[in-house]
Amino acid sequence: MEVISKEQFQPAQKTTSAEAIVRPSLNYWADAWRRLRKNKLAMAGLSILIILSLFAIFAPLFSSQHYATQHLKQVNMKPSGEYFFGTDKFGRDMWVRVWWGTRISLFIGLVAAALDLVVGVLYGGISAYFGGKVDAFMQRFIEIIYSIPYLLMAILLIMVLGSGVTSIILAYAITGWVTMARLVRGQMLVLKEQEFVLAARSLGAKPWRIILKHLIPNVLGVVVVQITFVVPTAIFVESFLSFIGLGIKPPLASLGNLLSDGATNMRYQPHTLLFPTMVFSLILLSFNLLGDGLRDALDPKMRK
Amino acid sequence: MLTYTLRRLLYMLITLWIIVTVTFFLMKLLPGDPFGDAITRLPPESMAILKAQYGLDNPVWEQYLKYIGHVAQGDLGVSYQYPTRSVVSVIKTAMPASIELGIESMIIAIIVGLILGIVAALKHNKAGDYTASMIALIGISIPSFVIGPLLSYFVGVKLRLLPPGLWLGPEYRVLPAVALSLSTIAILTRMMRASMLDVMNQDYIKTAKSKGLSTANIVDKHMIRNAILPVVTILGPIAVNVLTGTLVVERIFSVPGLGNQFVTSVYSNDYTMITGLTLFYAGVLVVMMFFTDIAYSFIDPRIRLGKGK
Repeated sequence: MEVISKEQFQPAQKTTSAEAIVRPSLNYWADAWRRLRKNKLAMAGLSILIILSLFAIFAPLFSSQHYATQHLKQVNMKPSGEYFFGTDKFGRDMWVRVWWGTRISLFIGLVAAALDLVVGVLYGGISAYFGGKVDAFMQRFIEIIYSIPYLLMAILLIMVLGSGVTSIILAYAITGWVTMARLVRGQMLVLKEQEFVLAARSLGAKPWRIILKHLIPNVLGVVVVQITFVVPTAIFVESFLSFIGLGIKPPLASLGNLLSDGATNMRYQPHTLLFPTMVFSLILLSFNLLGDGLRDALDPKMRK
Repeated sequence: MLTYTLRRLLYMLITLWIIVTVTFFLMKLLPGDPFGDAITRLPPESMAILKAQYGLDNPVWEQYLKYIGHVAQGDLGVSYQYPTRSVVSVIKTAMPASIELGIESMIIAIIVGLILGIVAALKHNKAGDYTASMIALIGISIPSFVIGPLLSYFVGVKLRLLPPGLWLGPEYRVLPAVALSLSTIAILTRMMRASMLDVMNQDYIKTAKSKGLSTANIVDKHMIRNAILPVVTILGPIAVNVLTGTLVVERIFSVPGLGNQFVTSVYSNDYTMITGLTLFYAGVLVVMMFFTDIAYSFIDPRIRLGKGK
């Protein structure tokens, strides 16, 4: 007969923690972030954007050069240790100009997106929430604005407002908010029929409170995705306007007028086109990658 | 259907009227003077005569009514830049090059874009998909005013394969048309890919497969035909894309078209020319949008616009 040793009769471990929550619960944004982090392309886009923004902020600060200083003895220099990106036809340091241009272009993109966001979300929200005649009227108005080609309107507005950062932002914002408004309205039409809105209303919440506290937070996902497409569009509009001579005026640098200058001198000074093109394309590419990733991460329809 | 068409027609007219009005008043607000620095050199009496000749001495609302009346009759005024030519005649001279360029680039874009989109969807999450999606991303990220000079430089100047600019023979058309079509290719590829993927998950594709249809047959008769429908809706926006693209592409390749003319007029403060061209562009686009919407409801039997709304 086998002898059973006493050691085998140990009391079992106490399992009082069986009901404790092992992982912290994930809210919508934490979940989206987890999803986004798995998307390598989107993370690459995000990292590139962060790096480019850091350069745009700090490179002009830590450079001994100014974007408008001309060194007439050192025109059209090739990239070197002194001038990382070379110099342009007035001997201005391209390194500082490119990053200064990036700064301005990003600024235009972000501010335009912010304006777009405020106007579009409020307009869409009001239109969807009140419905009926208000909605019908507001939608007719949108339909008309929507069918006006925005670049043409932007050109006309710039001609009136004069060129400059503010007018470009305004010109974009006046014509650009329509897509956002349509998007928000579409989402809100679905949301406002849901029970939590009914609950809020029966508790006596005012329309403003319902729109701001209940409806808008729920459309933020779609809105964030849209923003990542608005920023590059605004940057594109700036460069487009600068390219046809209506945007930012030299000596101030923007990616648009650097591209425009570069394209004119490309035949003999390819470096003046190369660097702005690289930064510009990277920005647009990264925003698009990030936007695609965000859409996958935030869109409930993509959930499996 | 008829009520819908009529309603759309009414909106189209309202839109055009708003565009005319906005353009007219924006032009009135413009800084700068159409007579340039002549204003400082001419005696006031001559200035008055000049102003009277162009009707600039009347009150603004009178000028506006007169302008609307003229526009309704298809008269866009006389160019300040070329005093002997009317805006309409300038548009007529410049239009053929632009139309040709636009149509060629649309054809390239539609063929390449649809094929890339279909390939991407059929090879979903495989090498073919990634290649096509990458091409589309690059097309979106690098605008035509960057691609244009690069093409002109490498293909035209370095390799000497095709002429880098001007508009003389058939070989001059290739580079501008390609440069102009890239962003449209990108839009179409993404749209077609998404649409194909959507269709591929539908039940009728499963039915078609289970009744033993060949893959080629399914792809051709069931997938592509259904997937192409939503793509028709973006033909309007695509036209906008191509049209605004001509502004820079024509400039880069020195094509004597409307876009080039527009930019020249912007530089020389040629009010009537700018207003005329904007109106013309806007008119073309609004009409195209109108036909796209109408065509869409004819193509897709599932869509009966204007009912139940």
